[in-house]
Amino acid sequence: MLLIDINSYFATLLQQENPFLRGKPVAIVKDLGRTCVIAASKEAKKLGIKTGTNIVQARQLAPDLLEVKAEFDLYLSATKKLIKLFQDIAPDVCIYSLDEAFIDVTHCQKHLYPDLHQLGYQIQDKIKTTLGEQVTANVGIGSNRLLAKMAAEISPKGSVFEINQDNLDAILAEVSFEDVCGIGFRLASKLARMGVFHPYQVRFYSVADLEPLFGPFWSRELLKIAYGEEPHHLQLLDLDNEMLGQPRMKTVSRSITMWELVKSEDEIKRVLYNLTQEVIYKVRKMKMSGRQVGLSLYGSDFLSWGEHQTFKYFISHTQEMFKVINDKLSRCWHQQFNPIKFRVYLGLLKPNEQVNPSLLPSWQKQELIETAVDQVTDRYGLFSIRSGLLLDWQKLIKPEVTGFLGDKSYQLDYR
Amino acid sequence: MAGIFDQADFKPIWFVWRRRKFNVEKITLVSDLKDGAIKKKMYSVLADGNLYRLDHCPAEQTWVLEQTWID
Repeated sequence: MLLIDINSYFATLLQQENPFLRGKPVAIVKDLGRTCVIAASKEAKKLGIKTGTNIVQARQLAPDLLEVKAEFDLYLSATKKLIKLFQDIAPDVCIYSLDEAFIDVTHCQKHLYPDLHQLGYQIQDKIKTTLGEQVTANVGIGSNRLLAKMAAEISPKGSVFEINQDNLDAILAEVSFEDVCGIGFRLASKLARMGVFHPYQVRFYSVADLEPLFGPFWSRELLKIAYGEEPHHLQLLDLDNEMLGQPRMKTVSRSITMWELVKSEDEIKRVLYNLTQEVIYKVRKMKMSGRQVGLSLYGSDFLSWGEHQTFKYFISHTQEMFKVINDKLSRCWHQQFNPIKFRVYLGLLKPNEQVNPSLLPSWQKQELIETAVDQVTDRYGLFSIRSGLLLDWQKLIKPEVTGFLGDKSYQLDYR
Repeated sequence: MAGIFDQADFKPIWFVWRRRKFNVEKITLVSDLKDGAIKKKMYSVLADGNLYRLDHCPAEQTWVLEQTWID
């Protein structure tokens, strides 16, 4: 198993495009004026700037810092080129995020790639030929996805590194949990409180010792990781690959942080309608419907409010979903604070072939309208046709790609 | 815009903007973009020491200078 991880992807790709950015500390922000660094160049990382660093702090760490707006369309285009490149190497490719992919060479290693290190170097060269000489990648090699990813995480930038039976125990005894895929900050902190800082240490505990603290699931997962075995969430990727074309997605959500607190009720409605239209478009594109509608609002000083409603019937129309959201707003929320962040979602999704469509004439009519809107959107792009509510609105929120590519079934298979 | 086809890929050689000719020194990135069903290609090129983003819509055969970076 190989894991290809492009180094500092968002920044590197823009450094490839723009030679004036090369060799300089670059901070990628979602939009110019935003305060959170979403990616940093290798040079910026050396100065202590990383994803999540506040831009003010980043400027203190690197006074000559260049702030550059993220270009999500460029990243998605480059990722699609990488997928093609990887699929030419072996058929079993699993895209893990925008900049990471697993290549399973188990079935072709013996005859095609007897030397996996050599293959790693060839892949690095092909990436440079495809995207440009600035684009470097780590190649991690392991007997499973956990070890391949760990190998890529702990090795120097632009290297090829293998975890095998000879170095496995030593690495598991040295690696910190932040380099272990699936172990989040909270779990790592909990383990640290027990004096456990490396996966190898977990071997000294039994399931019975771990269960009261971590529950039945995580106690077993932690023990698997301690022995270098693939945990459950990485095994699920097999299911993703098997079901390619039949998305296993359960929820489609869309959130946005606005530039300032939104005070007007009309403006709040516009934002929510805008997000709802995108959610419904994606859900319909994947030929699915959902029966849980959710809404969350976040204000200043950690103020937040959220509600969801579950229905017996399935929803796949913008108007229908927006009506639920709007009713919730007027009935439950009462404008308790001025929100800055908005999130809407449609959950409990099912493929349309498993859902009985409504026989009500009003629903059938709406379905015809939505189908027509879909056709116009497919041809001219999202929001080329939209509700009067958004017609003269200058702040239209366009779709974007996220780094972890949570909507990869939509982004990679349906566009 | 003038260019050549190299192994079926279009490569810009020079372009004219505001009656001035810019010779393309290097193509730094080519991106495939999509807006609805409209497929576009964006060429990021270095010309006269500056960076230009040129958007090409093959369906309409139009070229749009999207952005420049002047150091």
